[in-house]
Amino acid sequence: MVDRRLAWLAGIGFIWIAAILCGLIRLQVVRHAELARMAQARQETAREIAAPRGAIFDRTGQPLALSVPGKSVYINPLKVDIDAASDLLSRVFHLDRAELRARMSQARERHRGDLPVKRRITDEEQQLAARQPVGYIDVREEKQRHYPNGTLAAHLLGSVDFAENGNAGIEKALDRELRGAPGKSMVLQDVQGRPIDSRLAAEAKPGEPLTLTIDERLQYVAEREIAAAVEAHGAASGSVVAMDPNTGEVLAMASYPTYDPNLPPGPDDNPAARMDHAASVPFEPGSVFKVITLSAALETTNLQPESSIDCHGGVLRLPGRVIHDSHLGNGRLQMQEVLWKSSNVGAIEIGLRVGQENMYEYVRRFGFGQRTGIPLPAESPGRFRRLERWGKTSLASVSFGQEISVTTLQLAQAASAVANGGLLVRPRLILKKGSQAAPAGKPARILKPETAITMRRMMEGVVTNGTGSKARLAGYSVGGKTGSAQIYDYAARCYTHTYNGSFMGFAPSMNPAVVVVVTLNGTHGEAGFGGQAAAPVFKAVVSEALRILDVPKDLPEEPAKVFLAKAAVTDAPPVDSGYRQANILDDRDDDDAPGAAQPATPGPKAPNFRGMTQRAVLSEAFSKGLVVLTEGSGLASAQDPPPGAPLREGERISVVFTR
Amino acid sequence: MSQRFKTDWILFGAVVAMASFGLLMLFSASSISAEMDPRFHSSWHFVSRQLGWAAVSALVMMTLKKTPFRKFQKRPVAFGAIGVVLLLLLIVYFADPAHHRWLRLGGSIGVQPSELAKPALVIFLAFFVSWRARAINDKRYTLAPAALAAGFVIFGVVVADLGTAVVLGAAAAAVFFVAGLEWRYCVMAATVALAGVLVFICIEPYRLARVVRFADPEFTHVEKIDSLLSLHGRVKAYLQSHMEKSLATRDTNYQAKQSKIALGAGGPTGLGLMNGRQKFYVPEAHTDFIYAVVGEELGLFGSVGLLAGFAVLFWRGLRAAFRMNDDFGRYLALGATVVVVVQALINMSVVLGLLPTKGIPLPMISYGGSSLLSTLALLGILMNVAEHAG
Repeated sequence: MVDRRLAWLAGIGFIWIAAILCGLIRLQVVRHAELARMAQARQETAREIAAPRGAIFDRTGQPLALSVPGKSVYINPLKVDIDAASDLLSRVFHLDRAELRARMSQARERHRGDLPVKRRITDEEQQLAARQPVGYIDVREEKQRHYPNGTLAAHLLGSVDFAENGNAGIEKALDRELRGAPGKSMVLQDVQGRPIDSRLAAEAKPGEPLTLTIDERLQYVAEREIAAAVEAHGAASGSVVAMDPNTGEVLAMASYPTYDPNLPPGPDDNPAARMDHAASVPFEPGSVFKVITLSAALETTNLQPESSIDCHGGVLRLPGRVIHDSHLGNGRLQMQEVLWKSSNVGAIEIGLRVGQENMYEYVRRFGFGQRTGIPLPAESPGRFRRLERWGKTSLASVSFGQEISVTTLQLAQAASAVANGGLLVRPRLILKKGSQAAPAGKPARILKPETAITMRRMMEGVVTNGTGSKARLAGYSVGGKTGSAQIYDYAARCYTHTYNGSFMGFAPSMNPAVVVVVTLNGTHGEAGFGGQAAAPVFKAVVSEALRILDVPKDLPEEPAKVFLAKAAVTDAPPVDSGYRQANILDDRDDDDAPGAAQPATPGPKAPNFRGMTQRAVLSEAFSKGLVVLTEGSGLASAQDPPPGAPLREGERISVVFTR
Repeated sequence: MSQRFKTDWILFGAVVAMASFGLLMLFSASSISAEMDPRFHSSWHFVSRQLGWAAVSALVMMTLKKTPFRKFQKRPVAFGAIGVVLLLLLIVYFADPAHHRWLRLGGSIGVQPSELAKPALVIFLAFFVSWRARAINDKRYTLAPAALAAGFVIFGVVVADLGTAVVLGAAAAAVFFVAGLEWRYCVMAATVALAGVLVFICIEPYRLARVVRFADPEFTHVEKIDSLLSLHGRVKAYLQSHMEKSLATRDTNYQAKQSKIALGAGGPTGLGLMNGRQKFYVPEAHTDFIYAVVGEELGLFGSVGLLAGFAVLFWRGLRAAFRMNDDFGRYLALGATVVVVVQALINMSVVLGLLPTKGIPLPMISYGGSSLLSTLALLGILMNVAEHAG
């Protein structure tokens, strides 16, 4: 009896054990693959591994923007008691409690389970956080953008938002390259979503480092000088662009006021500080634009630098407005003198001879009214009316730089075309992407070489004989043009007594290594004219550029004493009686009356190279001990200085060859 | 009597191996969660406590193994043990108003009287049945008092812990069954027990919800009942309302599903010790669902191996009962075996999803000091009986 009952019991027990065995085999063998998939789906979540953002370097390899590791704090607002958590977190991380609480409840409303509480926490904060007896403080290692030089090149570099997406400048324009491709890791989480383990599913592809054409040293000088000038002249803003006219490489591009891209934008920021005045804020250029007018005249009319221009005694009546050149007062000026002394009436006379079709064509050729294509997202194309919309006085206005707005960068591009012998070279900001050289654009010929050479010579005269005397450099020849455009007050509908003072120039003038354009917006009075306010900035920046580029001097150290009689400064006060809308008036320019600046001693004279082969030119020059700069190929067709002109000591002769 | 006592080395070896294996699995199942838990911050939190309990329990087991089992065959021992347990159950009912389960000894150390009820009831049943062996089917003098005493204990336990009560009921049933209870009484007892369980399930909505979830997750049968009794879906609505009220109901299905996934993910060979992942999703992975961790980390080999371990216990226990020519020793061995093995089989069935979820630990493997103590005490008694059985 007992044994039978025990056998019954054993039977029941072993049947039960067999049932469990069957269940185990069913789950662990038959359904293994299916359940393993379910397990993986349940346990692992894909988490993005941020690719380190590419660094940005200047042309010498100095870092301008880096991604550095930092710690950030996150919480899951869906899983915390908002009141208690905001109390604790605001205390630990020194945050505003109410603001943090609002962010948390907002995130909760949107069912966001991942809220960044604070970025870049300090070590003390991290330690304090680790001591808190709560499990929800998630401290993560993150790369954070850092601009080691603070404000340096801020407008170029731009900045990134909290998720490290570029939101301005190069950071935005080349965001794709800089960003790289994020990797993926599969994170094993526990039931509360806390990470336990992870495995790498895809490696992050780091962003490409960029090398800019900017030279940190020159950028620093440019920013320092423009800041000092803006402050000294009480201007609203200012900008500087320095570029290599042959390659288009932008060596420095400064805008003031500026900001520190390390700091997030705040409510107290000056809105002007984040604007790039070099490329994004166009202005009426004024007299610097006469370079375009005269270039067009040299190519489309029979005017020569020495041609006489009737300046109507400095007063020109146009339909609806009267243009004064009162401080000049000359009846007739040579064309080159129109440039030197910046005669508005003379420029208009020349512009009228060019005609509006040609004028329009040349302004467009010089790249105005279109973006240069520099990789800055906020670049402005400026404003230039289409020909059909020109009015009766538009041609006259454009001739001396009104009815058009341009950027400092566009002026640098235009000046480079004159400086490099007539090629429009697009400004470049990116030297290398990764280790590969960024391709340069194809330059387009917009001027005949001889036109460019003649313009350079005339622009050199602006500095030696004209309004640009403050741009003179010891040891280098300099070509340039001043501009002092009155700012038009749209509310009062008249031009005011505030100016856009600018200077556009290059050095050395016969074989320019660098072009620098300086603009000061909103200067006051005569001291704010381009020749007074902008030329010294130009001088400081260009001399630093020449030093950095190691350009050989082309003049004796102290030129003025030997060759140049010091110009007697005769102030020609601007006529500032009642500018009204009916006679919107002049763009008055610099006031350094030119002195006689001809060489005092007769030196060697330029030989006549015309019609000779390049080989013959070089051998003749060599025999006479002259330095010749050649351009083009074929037979010599133009030269500067012209045959028979006296040569200053060390002056080089540019010869253009054509077939 | 100069009988040479021989230790049952198979039984002893199996018990030592399983208890050690239990500590290992406990570390694997609990260390990471304990480390990450801000209350503990130590991967040894559970294991160190369990080690302490294991030392005490081993001592108790060895002592009982050396103690001749006939020393328990006295009225004061049998009645005294059950009296103490009943008293403790009464105390704990008031001392632990939330769960009626824990008797705090100070600090975080506590015992569960429902666990201590197991050896007490086993000794009592063995004593009573062997005492009344010849008149086992006597209604008035055997069945009624036995049912009363066992009923008291089981009811006291039920309040705290239904799972353990089922185990105790199974042990009592097994002992009476083997002692030669007439079939009609067997059927009656089974009917009463079934009715009791049903009533017990139905009075706690969360239990009902668990069972319905388990048996009829889509409410197809519930709807049939509704239409059969023309109640217009009232039963279904009642069940649903209780299921929504109780968080535990959602857990029910969840737990069963997660543990099945864990076992399945382990596959034949397992992910390797400490490499389990699903253990972070299986609730109570270090206690009631530790078998899922075993299956996940050690695969079919581990889960079947552990099952085989309990099969060995069952075999050696029944063998001792079979060979024992003394009634008291036989019922002692039988009761101890049934308590341990039935508890293990119920636990494994729950983990496999073959039975609805019950809060019942896996003997020797799950975390829990009282459970380990009572299990090893029972096994110590079993070993002593096995020695005498030869």
